Amino acid sequence: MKSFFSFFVIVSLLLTGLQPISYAKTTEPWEEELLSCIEQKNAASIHITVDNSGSTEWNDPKGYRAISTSAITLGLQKIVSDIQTNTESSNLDIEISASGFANEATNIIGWTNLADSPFTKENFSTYNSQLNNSDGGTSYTSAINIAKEQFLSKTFSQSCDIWIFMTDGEANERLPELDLKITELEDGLNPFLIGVFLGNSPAFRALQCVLGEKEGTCEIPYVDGPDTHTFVGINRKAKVFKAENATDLLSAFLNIGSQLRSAAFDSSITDLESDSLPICTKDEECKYEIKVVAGTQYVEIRAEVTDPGNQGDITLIIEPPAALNINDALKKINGDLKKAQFGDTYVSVTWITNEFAEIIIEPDKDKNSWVGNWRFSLKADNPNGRVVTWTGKLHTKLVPSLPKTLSLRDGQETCIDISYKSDTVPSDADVKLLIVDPFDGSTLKSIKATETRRGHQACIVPDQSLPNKIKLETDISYTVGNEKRKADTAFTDIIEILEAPTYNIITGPLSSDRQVFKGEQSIKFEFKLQAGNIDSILNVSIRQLTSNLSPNVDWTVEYKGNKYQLGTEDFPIQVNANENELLTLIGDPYEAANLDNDTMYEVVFKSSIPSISAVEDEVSIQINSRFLDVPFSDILYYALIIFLLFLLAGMLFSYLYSRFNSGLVFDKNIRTKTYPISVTSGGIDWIGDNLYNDTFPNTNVLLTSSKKVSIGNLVNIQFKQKLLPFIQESTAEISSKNFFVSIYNKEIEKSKIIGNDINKIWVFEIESISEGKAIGSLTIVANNEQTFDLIKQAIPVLQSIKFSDADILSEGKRPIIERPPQEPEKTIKGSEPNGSGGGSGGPPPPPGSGGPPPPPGSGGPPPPPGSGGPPPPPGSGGPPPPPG
Amino acid sequence: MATNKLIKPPIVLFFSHLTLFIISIFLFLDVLNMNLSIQLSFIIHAVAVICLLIFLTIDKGISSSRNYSSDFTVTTSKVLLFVYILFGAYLSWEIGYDFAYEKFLTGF
Repeated sequence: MKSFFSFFVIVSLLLTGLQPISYAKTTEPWEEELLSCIEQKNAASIHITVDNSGSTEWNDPKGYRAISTSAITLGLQKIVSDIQTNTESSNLDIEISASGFANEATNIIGWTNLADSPFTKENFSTYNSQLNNSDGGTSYTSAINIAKEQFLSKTFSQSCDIWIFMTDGEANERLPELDLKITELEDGLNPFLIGVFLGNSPAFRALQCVLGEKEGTCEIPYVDGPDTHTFVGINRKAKVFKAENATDLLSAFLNIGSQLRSAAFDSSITDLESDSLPICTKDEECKYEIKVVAGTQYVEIRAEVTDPGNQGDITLIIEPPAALNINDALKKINGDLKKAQFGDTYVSVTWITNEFAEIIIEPDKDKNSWVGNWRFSLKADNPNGRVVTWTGKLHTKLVPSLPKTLSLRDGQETCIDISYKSDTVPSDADVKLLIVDPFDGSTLKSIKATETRRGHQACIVPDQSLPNKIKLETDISYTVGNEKRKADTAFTDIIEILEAPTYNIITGPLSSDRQVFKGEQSIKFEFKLQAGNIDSILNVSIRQLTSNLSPNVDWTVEYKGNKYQLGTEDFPIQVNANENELLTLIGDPYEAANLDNDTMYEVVFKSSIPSISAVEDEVSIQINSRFLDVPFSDILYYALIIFLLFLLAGMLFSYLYSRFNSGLVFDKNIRTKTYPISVTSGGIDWIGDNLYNDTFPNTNVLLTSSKKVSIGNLVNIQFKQKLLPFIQESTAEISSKNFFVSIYNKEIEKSKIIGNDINKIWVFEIESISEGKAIGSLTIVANNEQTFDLIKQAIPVLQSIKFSDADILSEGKRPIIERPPQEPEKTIKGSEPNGSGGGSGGPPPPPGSGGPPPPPGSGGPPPPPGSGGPPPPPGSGGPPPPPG
Repeated sequence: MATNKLIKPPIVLFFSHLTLFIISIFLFLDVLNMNLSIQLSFIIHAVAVICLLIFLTIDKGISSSRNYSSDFTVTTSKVLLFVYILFGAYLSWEIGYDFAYEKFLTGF
């Protein structure tokens, strides 16, 4: 055991050379090895061996060995906890154990998995007395032996073995022996050998050689002679830290913890500039300022206060960037602060000792309000000249990102965005985009990126100097503290540089003939579209070139079965690369027109490739058309024909119906009878049966058809077919070879057009006329007795007719009919069913009463006044009195 | 023909032509969205006119009878004759237009 004085001297000498451990400027071999090992095994077994020799009583009077062991244990416990809650970090299990050594080694803390360890600042104090024990020599061999035992009994089967060996003195053993023991340890377990040498003696150099950080000849100048040994080979997994004093021991342990965190989170540690400031009163300014940059994952601030340290009167004031928007009250922290939300960050403050405080800031990775200057100060009502030394570490990991796939074309500028997590843009960053040959990894080109609001952007114009396939990656240096750091590298996948863009080729119309707008019928113009080598959009517009009175036209484009109406939001047409399709332009006129000249249009096709630029490739094609419509005369002609056919059909059917179905109207009981008579103006002589003595049942059944009936001797009644039977009255013709007078005609005729109702007819056929006496036959047709009686009343009208021979002999002449002047209307109305006979109500004139005088020139001598007519034939009797 | 009965045209024929006329109008207006052609409407209307003319023919055939009695079917039909002719003329125009148009289009 060395005296504490010598230890103190050595420690002091060592500590004078202790500088803040630099991890950032260059990566040391042990760091690389540690990172590699943790990446492989994701587990670490850490054994801490502290010096319990008697010299520590002076070198470490406040027991920093226990404090340091507690700090690193709790720190590693927090790292494990953070890893468990952090989805981005890889898994890391840590187990820890501790031992002390003097002349013999003592196991103090058994292997404890920090994932579920119960360690707290308070309960760790139970190990303080053992860790801070100070009695005996400095047997490195016993320390090495217990470390070996511990690693052989660790609980993790696959883990990185890390031995933290703390000592303040020279070994009891000679250097060759120690070299042999360490070599055995290295050959058997090959742990990381992390030494912490408290003090500043030549033994520091010797420890470096023993652990393998250094090689060559090392010497310990003992009083009885130097201990010299030449060490061969360097152990890349060895590192010896120098602690000037006991508090540096704590820093050294914390730094080891930081390095483990860095390895676990794959972040870089940057030491910030340290500063010593007095503890000030509330009204004074004594701020330690750091700049938290983009990519910061973890901030460690350490405050080391000179004696007597924090007596509970010191207030820590944290002033974050204004964007964090923290209440003033929250900025003041007295004593410890467990992990608490501080705006978009979490802050914890731990006074590890009265003299040593650690402030941890964990920014929210998805936010960026914490980027900026943070200020820290310690204030007390009565500073008493206490000074605080501030040191800071930033754990940074700037992760840029690039789109994995890109479309690059020859000669076409493509700008690529480089973004960062939470949209934080690193300050003072030198950002380059490297074009890399994917086959040999060589950098073909370096393009400097410019800063944008959300990151950086680099633009590439591929040319023939580049191979067909390239890969892009970032090369970013950014400033952390006063140092330049390299950000992670972002890669793209292998990108194939495509050929230069070609636009759509549109040709047509395929039919060069003029298209005719036939009335309101639409027309079509077909165009051939050969798409370019990139997906594009196509807009179409049309303009009338000819100034004429052509109607407006609705234009529609049909492409791949879809229709796009011009002037609407149907456009643009999506055109896929390299397709060949038919594009049809359809014109639909508003109205028909008949124009004498052609109407020309200009169709403009505008192709553009939005993925490249808004530049439009324009193609103009002229099309020719003519508006023609059917002449009005043609429409009228066909309409008239159809209308006439329509009318003709109606008339034809009505005619045919009339032809086959219309006829004479008569009752089924119709009867007839013919009476031979002679008529003079004096009366009617009944040669045979006398009508007035006859009865209806005594008449004969009339045989008739619907079209024709024969009555009397030679009388025919024939139905007359009409051409337009639906508007023309139905008629029949009564005719005879003899002259006759009838109910319808009081003049002597051979035929007469009558109505088609034959239910009441009388006809007097004249066989001869002699001296005013007409001889013939009277035929009656009646459908019932009433009609029969009515006919009887009408017959006397015959007496009023004056018959003349000449009338019969000369067909062109008509007999003179002398109507009684007192009954002019009766003669006319004799054709009516209630004719003259029935209507007069009086009996026929008695025979011999005389008739009207013949007209002048009739040939016949006038009857002597008062002579009357000829007497009725004997037996004929007079006409019966009218009924009633 | 019984003399003791009033003679008038068959009312069935009246309603036949009236019904056909209404059907043709419905078809023309395409009330039921059956998309039947105007030609069908025209043919039905022509049948309606034929029925009407036969109806009037019958009326004229019996109008001279002493037992004839005119009623509303006859007076209505006489008025409808003009309506039918006008509608027939319109349909003829439409069909004639289509026909002329078809001839015009096939003439190219």
